[in-house]
This record gives sequence, C-alpha cells and structure tokens, in this order.
Amino acid sequence: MPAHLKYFLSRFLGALATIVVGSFLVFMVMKAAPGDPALTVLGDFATPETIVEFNKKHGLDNPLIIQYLDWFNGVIRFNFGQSLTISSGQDISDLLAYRLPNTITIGIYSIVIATLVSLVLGTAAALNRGKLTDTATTSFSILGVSMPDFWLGYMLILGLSINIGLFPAYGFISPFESISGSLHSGFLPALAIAAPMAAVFSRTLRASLVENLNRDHVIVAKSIGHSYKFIFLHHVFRNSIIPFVVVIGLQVRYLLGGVVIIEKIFGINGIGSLMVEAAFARDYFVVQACAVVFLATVLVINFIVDMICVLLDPRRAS
Amino acid sequence: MKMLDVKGLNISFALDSSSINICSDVSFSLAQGKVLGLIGESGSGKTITCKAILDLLPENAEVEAKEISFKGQNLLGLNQKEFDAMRGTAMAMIFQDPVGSFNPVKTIGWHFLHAGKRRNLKQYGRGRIFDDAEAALKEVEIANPREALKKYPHQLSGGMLQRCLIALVLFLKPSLIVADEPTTNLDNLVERQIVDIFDKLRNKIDASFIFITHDMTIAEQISDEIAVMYAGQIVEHGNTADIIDNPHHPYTRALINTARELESDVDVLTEISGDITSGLGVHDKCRFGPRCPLHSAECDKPIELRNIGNHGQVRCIKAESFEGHV
Repeated sequence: MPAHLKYFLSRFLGALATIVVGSFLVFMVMKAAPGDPALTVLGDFATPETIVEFNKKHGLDNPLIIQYLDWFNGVIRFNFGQSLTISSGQDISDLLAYRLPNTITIGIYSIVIATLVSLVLGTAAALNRGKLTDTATTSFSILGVSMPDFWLGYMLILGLSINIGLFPAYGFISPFESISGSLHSGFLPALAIAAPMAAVFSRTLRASLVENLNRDHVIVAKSIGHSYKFIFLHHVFRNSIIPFVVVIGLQVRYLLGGVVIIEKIFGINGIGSLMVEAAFARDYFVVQACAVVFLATVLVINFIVDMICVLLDPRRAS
Repeated sequence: MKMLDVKGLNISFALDSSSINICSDVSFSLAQGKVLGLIGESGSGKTITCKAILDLLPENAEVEAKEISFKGQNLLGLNQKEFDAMRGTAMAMIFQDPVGSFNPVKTIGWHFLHAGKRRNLKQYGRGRIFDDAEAALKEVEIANPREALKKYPHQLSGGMLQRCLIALVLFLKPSLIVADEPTTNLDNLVERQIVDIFDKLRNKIDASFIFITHDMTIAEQISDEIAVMYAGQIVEHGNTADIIDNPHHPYTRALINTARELESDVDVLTEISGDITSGLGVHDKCRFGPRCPLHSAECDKPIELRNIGNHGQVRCIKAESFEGHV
C-alpha cells in the first residue's frame, strides 16, 4: 500500500533525524556538566602534563563538533568508547550488552502486566459505568498514579518478600540463565513499575470504550440486528484499542524513569542502575551512552507504536 | 395488510430523580407498501418514536404502549435476542448522519459482509455476498460498486456514504424501512438525488417506509400519508393530498404555508412565534396552545386525537374553523 509505505518512510526518517538531534543534545549537556574526565581518572596523580596527555589520548583536545562527530560515528556502530572507572577502561558496549537484556526484560514484563491488568479493569469499568465496579477501579487508578514507584517497591518487598517470602527481595536472574527464574525474580520490580502505568492505561481504555459505546455506528449496527457481543468486539473494543496503544507508547518514557530507580532498589544489573552508578562515579562516557540508549529505546518504541496504530486505524495513513 | 400498528405509545426518559415525558399517546398504523411521512420540527419526537418501535432507545427510556405490532406480531413482549433477529432483516433504520453510521476503521465491504451474516448468506461465501452488495449499491446509483466496497468511510463523501447506508439496508431486504431525515446533513443537490432514489425505491420494492423529515415539500413528494408531530404528540394524520390541500390543525397549516412561501421565494418567511419547549410534557391542555393563533380558554383541557373528514385525524377542537379555506 503506497499510503502506508509513505507514512512508514516519513516516520522512519523522522526517527533518524530525532536521534541525530537528540544525541547532539545529550553530548552537549554532558559537556556542560561540571567536572573534568581527566581529573576523574587521574585523580591525585593529575599534573598539567598528564592532563594534556589524557585529553590528547581521548581526543578531548579537538573542537567540540569534531568530538561529537567522532563519538556519533562510534555510536552508530555500537561503539561507545571505554568506561573511565569500571575495570580500568572496560568497553562500554560490553557493559551495555550485558545489562540491556535485563532492563528490556523488566520493561516488557511491566508493560505486559500493566496491559493485562488494565484490559480487565478498563473493560469492567466501562461496562459497569456508575456502578460499584466503576468506582472501585477509579479508586484503584487514583491510588496507582499517586503512589511513588520507589515507595511501592519497598512496600512490595516488605509485604510479599520479607513477610511472606513469595519473591526474592534483591537481585535478578538474567533471562539467558533461566526464563522462569527471571520472571519470578523480576515480578516485584515489574509490578512496582506497572502499577502506575496500569492506572493510566485502564482510565484511557475506560474513557475510549465509553466514548465508542455512544457512537452512531454502534446504534446502526444494533439496528442491523448484530448481537451485543459482535457490536462490542468489532465496533467498540476494536476502535478503543487505538488510543489505548497510543497511551502505552507514551508511557514508555515514564517507564524508563521508573527503571532507573527500581533497578537500584531491587539490585538489578540493568541500564538504569548502570546510569546511576556511573553518574555517582562521574563516568561521563557511560552516562552519555546510557542516555543515548534510552533515547533510542523511546524512538524505537514510538516507531513501533506508530506502525501498529496505522494498521489499526486506516485514517492515519491518509 | 397492516405492516405496523402503534397504539397509545408513551415514552419517558428517567433522569436522576425524576422522569421526563417525551412522547404521549402516539398512535398510527401503516399498510404494506405504503410510505408514511412523519413530519415535525426538531424535538417533536419523530426519531424517538421510531427508535422506540425498533427498540433502539437507551436504557433509561421507559416505553409503554397499548400495542406495537409488526405484521400482526406483538413487539412489546420480545426479549433482546428475539428483537435482534428481527432488526435489519424485518425492519431497519437509515440514520441522519451517514458519516457516523459506518465504523471508521472498517471498509464498506466489511459492513456488507457482516450484514450478509444476518441474512444467513455466510454459506454462500464472500463472492456471493459481494455480488448481492454490488447489486444493492447499483440500485442507489453508485457508479463503481466494486471500488466502493474496498473504500474506508473517510474516503467517501457524505452523499456516497448515505447511498451506501441505504444500499446496506436494501441488501437486508426488510419489509419496514425507517428513514430518519436521511438528507439533513447533505447539500441541496445531493439531497435531491437521495430523495429521488427513495421515490424510485418505494415503487420498486415491496417494503413500507416511514420517512421522517421536517420538510413538507419532501414529505409531499414521497409519502402516501402524512403524520404531523408536535411536542411528542401526533396532531394530524391523513392522506398526503388531504393534508396538503386541506390541513385542519393550525400547526400543519402554518407548516404548509411556510413550505409554500419557500417555493414562491418570498423575502420574509412567516414564522410561528414561540418555541416547542412550551408544549413539552403538558398534559392538561393543548400543547400547541401557547403558539396558536386560535387559542382560547376552551383549549385548556386534554385534547384527544379525533376523526375528521373521510380518513383523517386531528388533535384540535377548532379544526372545523379551517374547513374550506387555505
């Protein structure tokens, strides 16, 4: 379909442009941050001579734009340079390759939990407007958005881990080692991130189900004699999924913010905790790499969401 | 044969603490193959009456009637499932807004395909259903039906969509078709074309029609009989020619005068002063009273619909004073 292809291309080029501009901003912000990489590494041994030598070795004596282009040239090859602090110069790409799967697992896990929970709650609320179920899910939603995720994380550890012992309080098993172990040890952190998202998702789904229930084509379908089940599935639910998917895509940004804190609380070796550790150690190159990975994640997910939406809603392509 | 018989239909809507009466004592019947023009201004209860017959009103509607029967079958006792079985294939409705009438994320063909299931055409497969759909689309003068079936609603104009909706209803072959102001949202030229399609169809197919409109000229062109509604009551009902040539109710008379003035291009149209809300929910006097030039103290009592002339009915105690002069 040419209309779809055109849409796909324009979105793809848009995403590419965003990564160029975004990575430039990340780079400039890191440059503007206080401190000096040379001092971080050399510490007490820093003399004017060693600093000049260090800067020369890492290309830090070049003009900013050249530094950026060098760095960006590496980024597109998944080469982020070396860490300043970890294992005296470990390749950052190795660090990312080891930690990224953990973060992706937790991220997808929490999206799946939030989506499943909100499908049930949102639909139940929409079908029982104004009744007890509706009020109950609304209250849950307000609770869900109001609870800070780090607080919820500690409460879950206290309740489900320390008191009952259902889930581990700390640590995460990589999905490459054991999938069931990964799902078990990742449940609490995923739930802590999922709760506020589920609240937003179910409110969105409820609102768009209610809106679509009152559409003219629903009455027309009824006047044709279609069953309630058919109308709900094909005229109401089918159309309500579109804004639902859009909101899931938008919440990914929030999810990444949650991951940074939750990984730290639950001791997960992911990108979020790596970024926090690097920031405390003033490891500029690692922080910079993590920021670009987050940026790319948001773009990739938004791109996927856009593609799903255009398949769900033909009006978007034209 | 009587296609539809409605007796003493009352409709109210329940609000939080009270309920508001919308239609009261609506009675009419419609013979097979006839077209009833249901006319009246916005808020007079035309649409609500027809939706009540097809059981399409929202949950807070309270519908009571002495009788609503379709081909002799009482509709009042039917449950949701039995009604689903009748809607579409026995009686169907064409709505005002053609753009909103189709699911925007599905093609026109999809709508026909699933409507085909209502006619148990599924066993014949897609090909046969689409052949039938194309025939129906040709009937409403769509030049390239095969292409139209592939289109999404947003790719077609309002006039095209209204034709598609009419075709969808024709495709279901119901014996009663309610057309609810099917031309209101269309421009004049397209309105003309759609009315002509209805005019052609009513002679061609065996169905009875209820054609809701607020345009007396359209009602005159396509209906065999006309029922005039005001503030939730039928105020006059009779053969089209009788109503047009010799209206008995002051409201009908005012409507016809306005239509005549429109046709003759006068500069200033005569307006019926006041508005319809003054008559809503009134039970103890004539609902048109506050706007009626003939209104007097005698009108302040419940007014019944009574027979007048050979076939007509009117809800006015002073109807005879119009006799002979229009």
